[in-house]
Amino acid sequence: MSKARLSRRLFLTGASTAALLPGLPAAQIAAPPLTEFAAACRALSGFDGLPRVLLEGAATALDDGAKAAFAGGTAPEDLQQTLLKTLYTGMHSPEDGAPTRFVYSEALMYAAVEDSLNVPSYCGGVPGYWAAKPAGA
Amino acid sequence: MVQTLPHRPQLVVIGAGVAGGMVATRAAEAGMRVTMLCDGPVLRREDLVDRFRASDHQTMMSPYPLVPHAPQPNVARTDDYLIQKGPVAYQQQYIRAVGGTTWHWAAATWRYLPSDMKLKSLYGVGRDWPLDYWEIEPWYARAEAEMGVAGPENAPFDAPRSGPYPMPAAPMSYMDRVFNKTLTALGYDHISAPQARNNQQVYDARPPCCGNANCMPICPIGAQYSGNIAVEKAQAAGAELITDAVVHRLEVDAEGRITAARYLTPDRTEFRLEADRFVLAAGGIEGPKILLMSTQDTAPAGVANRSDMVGRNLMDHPGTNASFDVPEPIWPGRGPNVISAVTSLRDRPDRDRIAARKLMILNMNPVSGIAEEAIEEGLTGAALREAIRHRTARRAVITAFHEQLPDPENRIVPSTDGLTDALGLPRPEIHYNVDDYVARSVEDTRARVDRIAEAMGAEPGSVTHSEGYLPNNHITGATIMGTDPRDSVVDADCRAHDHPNLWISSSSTFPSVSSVNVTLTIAALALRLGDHIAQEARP
Repeated sequence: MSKARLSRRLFLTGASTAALLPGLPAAQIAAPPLTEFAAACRALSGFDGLPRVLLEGAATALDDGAKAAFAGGTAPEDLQQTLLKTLYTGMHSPEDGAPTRFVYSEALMYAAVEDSLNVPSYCGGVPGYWAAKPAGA
Repeated sequence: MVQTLPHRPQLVVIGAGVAGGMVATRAAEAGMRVTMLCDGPVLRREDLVDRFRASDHQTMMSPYPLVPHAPQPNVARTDDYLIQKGPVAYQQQYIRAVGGTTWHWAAATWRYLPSDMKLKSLYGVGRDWPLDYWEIEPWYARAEAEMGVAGPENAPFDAPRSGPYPMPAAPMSYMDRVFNKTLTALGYDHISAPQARNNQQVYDARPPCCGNANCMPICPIGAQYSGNIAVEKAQAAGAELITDAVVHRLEVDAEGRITAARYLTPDRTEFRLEADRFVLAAGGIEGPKILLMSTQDTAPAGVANRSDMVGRNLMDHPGTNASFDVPEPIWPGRGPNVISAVTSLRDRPDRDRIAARKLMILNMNPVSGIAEEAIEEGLTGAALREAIRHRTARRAVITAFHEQLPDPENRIVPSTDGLTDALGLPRPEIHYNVDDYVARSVEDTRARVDRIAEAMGAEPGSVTHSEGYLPNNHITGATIMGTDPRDSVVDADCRAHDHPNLWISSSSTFPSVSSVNVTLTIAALALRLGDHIAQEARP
């Protein structure tokens, strides 16, 4: 089993996350405080402030071991990418199942462009605002 | 056991989209007793918006509930309802609910050019309409007033007009203006697109567009016209609406008159509704299917089908997309989904051998796909955030509609393999191909887009072109209009050649699809038809 396959499966199932923290049996892995997980998410995503609903939603898809791996800086790259997709799209997207949306407008992809683009379905400004040069242009 | 309803309307309208709603409104306003039958439910805009925001994959269909008794093609898997017999998949989708498919559209309300209706005479291809443009022109004007169209005055390759648009054109976005400089320098006519969306003013008690950037799949505020408005006006004028009534059969008497429509409810209870007159406005696939399912002694090949043309000549606008990155930020996604178009390819001298087309600058927020792309490249942190922002600001998409000619071999029939839906009705089976007339045009379009992209500063060879032909849901032709009952289904009044009290209100009557969106022409013909029926019914 490849490392990538293993870590993706860990994320999906929560199985044997002790593999991410060598030397610790699974039963001894405690969830890090949300603040530590949040710090990891901030560093990974490039955003200093993250909506709580986004953090909490992302955390629900991870078992304690995975969260500890993020807090400890040992999360492998593909697990990082999975968490990034969760934070940026607002959806849990398991490899083998249907995606599930837990937030919409709070997804970070919209925050990345918010000075020039509104979140689709929300009003963008006064009627005709789009004729003006965008802030980011 | 079939139950006959106790009342007998003067007019039954089958279908409650923009076509059925407008016919019903005109007839009801003239004092006729009108009943509309809709196969699906009433939808509430606020529910649609909530469903869109909560949906996992936000597609054209994600706001719309699945209705087991009135199935719709799945946008990702059209073969779950439409049976694709090829060789090219006809991957259309439509909404079976009150309001119909104009719940999700870009509100593009183009008129046909006069030449679009005389292809055979002018270019020796396709078919002519049995109508002249100027016979429809007053109805175009009424449809524009009804829907609230904002458009440009005296723009090149916009159709001639007897009066101004109801509202001035929506302003171009910054991106459109950047494109406009390049396109103009290259010799193209690039104009504001006429759109049924309120431009900086209240119109017909609907609010002005505030750029929600979500015309497709649902305008959250109703600034954009949708077919439910026509249905609501019909009801206000006294028309009755029966929902979740799936019409599957029209009865024909020995004189060729339609006597009743039969429909099934979700629990398969069957009803008959007798009436003096019938209008079929059930869309470009379900409508022909109803006619073809209605085989009986008095109509052995199905209703209105002595010509064997019902279901044939199926058309769309085979489409292409091309994306590329420009060096300076243009920020697609500000304002309505499509604001402008290149019109100078709508009618050219080479139309005898190459399809007309319309090119549009897509104005949809591309950030979702770009975010996933950047994450999969392994970017993280500030580099990821900045890459998403940088690329989103610069990602341009040009989309194109190509005119397709009517071909009797392109057709919809009720399933020949016995495949049925939840009510036991045959599913639509599609036989479809795209010929060289379109293929030559697509090849030319791609070369033109490459040159446009290069002129916009994109790296040579960097354009990503879509493969094959993209569907555009402009389902036309399968109950084609003409003067000769031997090779057409309805006449210039949209009345069935075979039945004096049956009319069809749908893009399925169009003898040509042109290169522009079909809804305004549907609406114009529907208003004209409603007026025609009301006049005929007047004692």
